Amino acid sequence: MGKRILVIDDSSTMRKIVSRSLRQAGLEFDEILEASDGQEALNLLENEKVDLILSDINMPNMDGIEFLRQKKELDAIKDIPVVMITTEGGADIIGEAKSLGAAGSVKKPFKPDTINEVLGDLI
Amino acid sequence: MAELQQLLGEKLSNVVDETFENMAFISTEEVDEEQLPVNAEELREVRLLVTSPIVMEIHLHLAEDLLHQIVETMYTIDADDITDEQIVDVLAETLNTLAGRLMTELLPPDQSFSLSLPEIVTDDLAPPDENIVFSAFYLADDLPVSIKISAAALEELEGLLKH
Repeated sequence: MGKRILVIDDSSTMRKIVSRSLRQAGLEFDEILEASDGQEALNLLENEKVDLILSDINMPNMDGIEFLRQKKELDAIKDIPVVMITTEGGADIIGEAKSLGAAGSVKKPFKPDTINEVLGDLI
Repeated sequence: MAELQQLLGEKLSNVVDETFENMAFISTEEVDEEQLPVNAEELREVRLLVTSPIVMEIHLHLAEDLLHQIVETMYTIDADDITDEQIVDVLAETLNTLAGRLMTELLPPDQSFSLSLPEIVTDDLAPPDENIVFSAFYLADDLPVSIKISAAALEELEGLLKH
């Protein structure tokens, strides 16, 4: 099976932007899956295998921080790298995400070059 | 306070340009309010609160036609297939991105900030004009964009600025 990336964001617009940037970045992957919040992502990951996750932080229902917290406890998915997509660049929220296992972060809006820099070694 | 207004204007102009270019390949130009098209088509409005380190409210008005143009580009769909849900989502995400970038540009890297989720504005939620402390106007593909910031104590921002 080819490589798959899961994009988690409550905004369908941002999911489109991320997907477009991923395709333009020249990364090697075969499919992008989408979820609109952390809970939907956890449900999806029960049945789907992905190689990398990009997640928003500020989302209704289950935010990105709670998603990381719950994912960390699930053996089947705990090792999948997660990169946080955020407008909130504060050190504390990024620090909290990293303490919960996030592999990195990118700030909106981002360009394909930025995506490549952050994700290049993860996929 | 004049310096703060000038700094806000410069940072916001860069952020607006970057955001529209990145989202929909649209370039923007800052203009005076009087240069906005008269009888402009219907505007849509969204607001968002910066809840820390200071409290302020940012309002974004975008022309309906501009929103349609962005949705067409983003979703690669025909004009006839655009839904109001997509229009509202683009409007909200544009402000979310603008606000986040603006605060990142203004504040030092180690200064955290928090934003509320964007909220689509109806007329009865609009703040009275006397609370608006900063306004900026742009043309994006000749269509109007305006941003207004209301805050009870904007001067508190001065002490937090990136130096």
